[in-house]
Amino acid sequence: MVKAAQAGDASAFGKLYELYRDPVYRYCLARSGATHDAEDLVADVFLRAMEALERYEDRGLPFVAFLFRIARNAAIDRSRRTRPDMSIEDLTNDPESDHNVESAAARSSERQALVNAMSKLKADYRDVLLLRFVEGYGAAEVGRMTGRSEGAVRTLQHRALDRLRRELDRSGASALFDRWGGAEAAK
Amino acid sequence: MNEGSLARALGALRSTHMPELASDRVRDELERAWRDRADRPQRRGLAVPAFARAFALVTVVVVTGFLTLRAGADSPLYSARIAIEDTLVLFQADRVEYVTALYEERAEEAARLEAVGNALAAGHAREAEADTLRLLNRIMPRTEDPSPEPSPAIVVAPTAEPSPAPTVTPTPIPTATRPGTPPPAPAPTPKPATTRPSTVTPTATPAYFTVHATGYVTSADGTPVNDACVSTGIDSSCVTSTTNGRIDFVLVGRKGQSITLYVRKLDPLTGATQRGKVTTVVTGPTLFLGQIVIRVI
Repeated sequence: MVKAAQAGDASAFGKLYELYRDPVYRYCLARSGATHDAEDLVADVFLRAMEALERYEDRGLPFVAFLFRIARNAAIDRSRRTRPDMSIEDLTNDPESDHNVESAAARSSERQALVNAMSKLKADYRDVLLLRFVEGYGAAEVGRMTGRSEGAVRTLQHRALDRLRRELDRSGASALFDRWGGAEAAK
Repeated sequence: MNEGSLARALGALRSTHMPELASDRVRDELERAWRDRADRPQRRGLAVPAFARAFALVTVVVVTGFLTLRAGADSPLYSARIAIEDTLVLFQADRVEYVTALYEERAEEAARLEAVGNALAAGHAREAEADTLRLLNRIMPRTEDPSPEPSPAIVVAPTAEPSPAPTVTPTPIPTATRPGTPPPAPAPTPKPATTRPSTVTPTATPAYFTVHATGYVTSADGTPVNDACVSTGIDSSCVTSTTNGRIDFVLVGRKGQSITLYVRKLDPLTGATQRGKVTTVVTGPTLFLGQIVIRVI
């Protein structure tokens, strides 16, 4: 699909967008902490990817690693231009939301707290948490994507989780996650 | 809250999706950009791989460095070369030896350029040579000179040489007079072609070595002159200056080499410049210049 897009196939690039827009969106959301900023960043990332497509070389890494690298640079550029907007904006379009309004509100609060806490982490910490736990890549693969050894990724991941926990404690949001240690986890 | 529960909470973020409305907006934007991109003329021919750019940059740096370090005094890169060579002094284990070699090289270059009549480039080389000598004087470890009182005044005479290029005087100018002795024969140096001010190499003799030169500068009434400029050319830059009439510095020379040093001092009262010079021959690592009397010419 990447090769086809490089050859000028618009529909192939469209498929790449459909395939990777959500991981990129989550990455951008964790970085910016606000949905509208994340949406603008996604547009910026794919526009940059379109321009850089000719220079892309398959080196055995997933294409999404290329997009994450672009996203990281785009987010840095954007944060230079504007201060991060930390509005308390609920994450919308939650496919898990059910008819239980209370439950949906709790999940939304959790996510907002997590996203806010992650947006305050160092980029390296945020990246490793996103790649390992949100996107579900193995430590070895994350290592290849970020140029680290597997052991270094695990160490970084441990520190990042510790930092995230402290950030949640500091913001008083850690109580929101109690359910993940008990019944919800078992489920 | 342990790591496991945090990891699970993070995993739940995977169900977060981009809102369809926003996604549609981005898709439209991408489609527009793709069309614009397709309409743009391609510039594939100009694309240069990153490694080629890096290689070209390294090549340019190396070639420029090579050309700079080989630049002659008539090259615009000469000052860069001098600056690099002078900077390299800091990294030498034996700085004196390195600077001595530099001095030798610059003196030879100046002589060569003078021989071919390139006065401008020779002037640059002479300046560099004088700078090297000053540098050598700064870094040379000093030992106390137990030189005797300058009872026999050796050489002193204002010179009326009009030549702007500093020259070794092949003409019998009465530059050296020893009181009580017959008029001296000014060292006849049979090399009028070479016009080096301070160093004359009558014969191809052995290697250069450092020479510790001392002497005294007085005015006509015998008063020691402070802050008089000592140079290797008539009006070239000072290689050292006098302190309470005393000259004490290091130069580079060869055994048997004739050295001419010029002394000048601006008289602040009259605005006139008092001048004198001394010519002597290097015989060993110490060189006594004697008393140099300066006068208004």
